[in-house]
Amino acid sequence: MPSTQPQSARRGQPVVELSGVWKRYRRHHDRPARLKDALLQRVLGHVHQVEETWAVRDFTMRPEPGEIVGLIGPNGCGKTTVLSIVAGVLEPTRGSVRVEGRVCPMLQAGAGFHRDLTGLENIYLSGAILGMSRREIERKLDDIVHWAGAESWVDTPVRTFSSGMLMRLGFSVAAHMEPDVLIVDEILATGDEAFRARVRHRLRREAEAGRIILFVSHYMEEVQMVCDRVLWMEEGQIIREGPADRLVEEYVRQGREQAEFNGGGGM
Amino acid sequence: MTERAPDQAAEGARAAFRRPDSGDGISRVRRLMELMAILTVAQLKARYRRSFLGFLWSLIMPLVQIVVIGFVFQSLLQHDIPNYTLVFLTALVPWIYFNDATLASCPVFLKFRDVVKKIAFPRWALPMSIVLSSLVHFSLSVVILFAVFAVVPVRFTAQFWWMIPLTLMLTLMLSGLALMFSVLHTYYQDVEYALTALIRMFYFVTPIMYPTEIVPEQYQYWFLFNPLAAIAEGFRSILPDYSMPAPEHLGFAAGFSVLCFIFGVLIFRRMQGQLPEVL
Repeated sequence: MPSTQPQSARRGQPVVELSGVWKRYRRHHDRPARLKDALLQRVLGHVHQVEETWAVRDFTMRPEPGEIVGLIGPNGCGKTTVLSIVAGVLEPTRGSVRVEGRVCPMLQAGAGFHRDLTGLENIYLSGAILGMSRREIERKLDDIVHWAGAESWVDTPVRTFSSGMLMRLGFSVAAHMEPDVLIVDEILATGDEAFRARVRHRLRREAEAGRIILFVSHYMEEVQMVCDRVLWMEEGQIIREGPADRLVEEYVRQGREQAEFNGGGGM
Repeated sequence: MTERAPDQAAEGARAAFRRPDSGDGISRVRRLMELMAILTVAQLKARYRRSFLGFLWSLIMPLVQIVVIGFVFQSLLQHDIPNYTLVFLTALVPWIYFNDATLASCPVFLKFRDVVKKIAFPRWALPMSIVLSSLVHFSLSVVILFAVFAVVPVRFTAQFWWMIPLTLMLTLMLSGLALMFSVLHTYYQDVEYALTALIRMFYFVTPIMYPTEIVPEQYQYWFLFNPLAAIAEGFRSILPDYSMPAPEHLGFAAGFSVLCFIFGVLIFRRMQGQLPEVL
């Protein structure tokens, strides 16, 4: 039986609840990428192999409102898959997911933007895709532009923006959505220190307003500074969880030891 | 904190999402309409902004085509088709709509890849916005080209209203095709090439640059099975023939459009769930 319903589902409180979630990817070894190959395979009676990988295994988390939870772990350990399940983009293969509230995934610098449109037009575009109404976007427009410090360049096409400008604008649109659940997946990589400090400050404020924030970054100092609690994942599973400062330190130490071991062995 | 849920024997997964704004039907529909409008406008702006002549450019091409092919037909092949300019034009403009919408819908998910992979939103809005932006383009072309062709004396009769149902049928058909091709192309990335080649061939067996009347009678029967021929001839009966489109053309075009739409929706629904994983 899945875990019992928590009593914290008061109206207006965001809920993110994953219990016993599994996600299987089917990697088609030679999935025909082209129609031609698909036809050829059919004609030749070729059966292609399907490799199954479980990207997420028995994953359970229930972040509290007001909490910033970090997911750490090596590449390919399933962090992004978990976040996509929370965002509603991927369906879990097994297990149950309950998400209540407006979820806002933040995209990598400029990912949702159309190159040939201006910054302003892109605010409308990505705002609408994120689920804002036109009136809501119009109401928040000044704040979005101001927060990004984009007054002087918001009318120029996005293709002329630097990656820092893209990131500032993208973050600003998402942050002004007033989401209940904010997903921050590795988006700060190209930001300068001043910008990151502002983002950290902003995330803290969002959390204090009772939101749930899920945070992924490979910058461990950043995870330490931002997160309250950390889930350490390996091969799709949570192997440890605990307060950010302690667990991150351990994670870093382990990573270093592994590197030394491999380096020593390889020489 | 993490009492693990015991392994669920059943593969059935439950996912429940409650968004604060998804409950209210009216505001949801309204937001969807706004999303469509914003996407459509974005497509149109992106399409015209980077070219020097912008919208005019896409009007010049059909005009050049008409002049050149008109010369070939009338002067070189000595086919005397009365009102040839109008005969060609009234069929060419809807054809361009068909051509634009189907081909532009193919790469739409690849273009919006990051968004599709990260954000849960109604994905059908992307191919539909392609159809709508092509529809806007089509409508503008109709208005402007007929203004240009005021040189050719055109009478405006009540039959012109038939353009609306014809356009709606074509739009319904294209919506089905766009939904279908947008997902198919994401799976098999040569759909666009295959489609380009097919459409080019199809152009010659569809009465666009010639009217069905000049087709030898033993083949005319087969032209009835081409839904685009029905639509092209439907437009042509309005101009230059100033009459109502033939009921068999209307009926066939309507029936095919509905079927095409249903088929497209079914394929899209079946395949769209996998899009974030395939991309």
